[in-house]
Amino acid sequence: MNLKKIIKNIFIIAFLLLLLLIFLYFPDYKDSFPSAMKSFRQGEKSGYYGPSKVVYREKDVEGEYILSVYEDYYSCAYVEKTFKYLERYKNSLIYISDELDPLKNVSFQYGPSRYGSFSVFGKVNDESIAEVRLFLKDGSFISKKDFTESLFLIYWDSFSQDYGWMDADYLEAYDVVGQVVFKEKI
Amino acid sequence: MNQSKTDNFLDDLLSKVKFKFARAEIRKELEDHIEGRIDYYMERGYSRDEAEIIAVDQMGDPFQIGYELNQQHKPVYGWIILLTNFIIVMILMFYIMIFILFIPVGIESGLYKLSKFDLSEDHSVENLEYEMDIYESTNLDSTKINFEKVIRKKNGDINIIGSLKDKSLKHLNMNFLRNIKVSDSEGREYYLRLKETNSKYFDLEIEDFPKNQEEIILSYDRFNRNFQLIIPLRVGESDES
Repeated sequence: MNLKKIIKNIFIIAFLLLLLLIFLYFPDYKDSFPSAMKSFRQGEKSGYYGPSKVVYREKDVEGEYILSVYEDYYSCAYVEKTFKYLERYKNSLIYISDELDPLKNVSFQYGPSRYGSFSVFGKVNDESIAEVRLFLKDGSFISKKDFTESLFLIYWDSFSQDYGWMDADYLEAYDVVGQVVFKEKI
Repeated sequence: MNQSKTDNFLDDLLSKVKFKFARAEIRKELEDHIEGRIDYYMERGYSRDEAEIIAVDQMGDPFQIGYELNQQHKPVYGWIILLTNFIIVMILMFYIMIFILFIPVGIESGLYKLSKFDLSEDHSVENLEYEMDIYESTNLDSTKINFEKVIRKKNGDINIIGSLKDKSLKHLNMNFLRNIKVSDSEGREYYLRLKETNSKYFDLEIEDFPKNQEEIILSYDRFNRNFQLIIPLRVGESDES
């Protein structure tokens, strides 16, 4: 009798908690997308851009970076996950780089991709460039040697005790023999 | 204090039940049972005292029954039931609180979604030269853009109120409106500001647009999408609303 009562109570509690979860997460679930690519495509559509050709995808802990090309435009999107363990993605914002200067050896844009993370997205316009390095203010650097359709993406967790959120210093590009062919302060 | 036979019986019985929160319930249940038996014997001609003695005697050994009931009402189970009952009550109270708190918010947000901007707040009457309904619309991909109202202000500014409609998009992003170019019939360009938006409506503000111009040209050309709209204006009228 008592055991039955306990089981009944546990079922009632589980049901009430399930209702609470549905109440809390259903709006987010409904507004999210089942895949990063669907979210990306919807972002493109709401930006009246594309459909572009996706040239590069890279996952990080909280989402996915997608680089794409649409005619003369280059875009970098960060598609963030809505839930940690469920494969659902938020509505994505796409940064369309119609400002990448084709006359510079390396043209790039930078900005926060998500809370606590910065990214540099750019295009290598000089075929002799074999490596791009992003130097942080603490002297460390992040290197990129593979370029898809001449595009590159560098991202990092940006908060440092000494330099705050914006801890990037400058970008350097090297040719095959390691000579600096481009340098620009960020 | 004179205790009845029933009370003595129940006291002895309950002394064996360790979980004290169960005692009241057991007492009530057994009292009802004994009372029923007393009524039964009284209907057969016994006095109340006699009927009570027979009814209680028929119950058996109170200590033995108490021992058995104690087995059924173990303190561990009892505490778990009490705790789970408490949790259920707390969750229900939380739901009621949330329900009460969120009803006004829900109503307000629903009304906000349905409403256009409060023009009387955004555009003061003192500064108003005229207000005119327009019925111009165009499409950008699957989005229908409706330009619905022109507000001409005495300081030279013009506001264009409109709305977007697109069933295929989950989120309407109005940022593209910033890329609309504004010009007059002589080709001069003007600065356009996306003043305010909600989930459906927008308010575009054009600063210092000449009063002698009869039309305003809105054009968009980006990412292989383009449109051009000519919106007629009133010239030489004032103080009309």
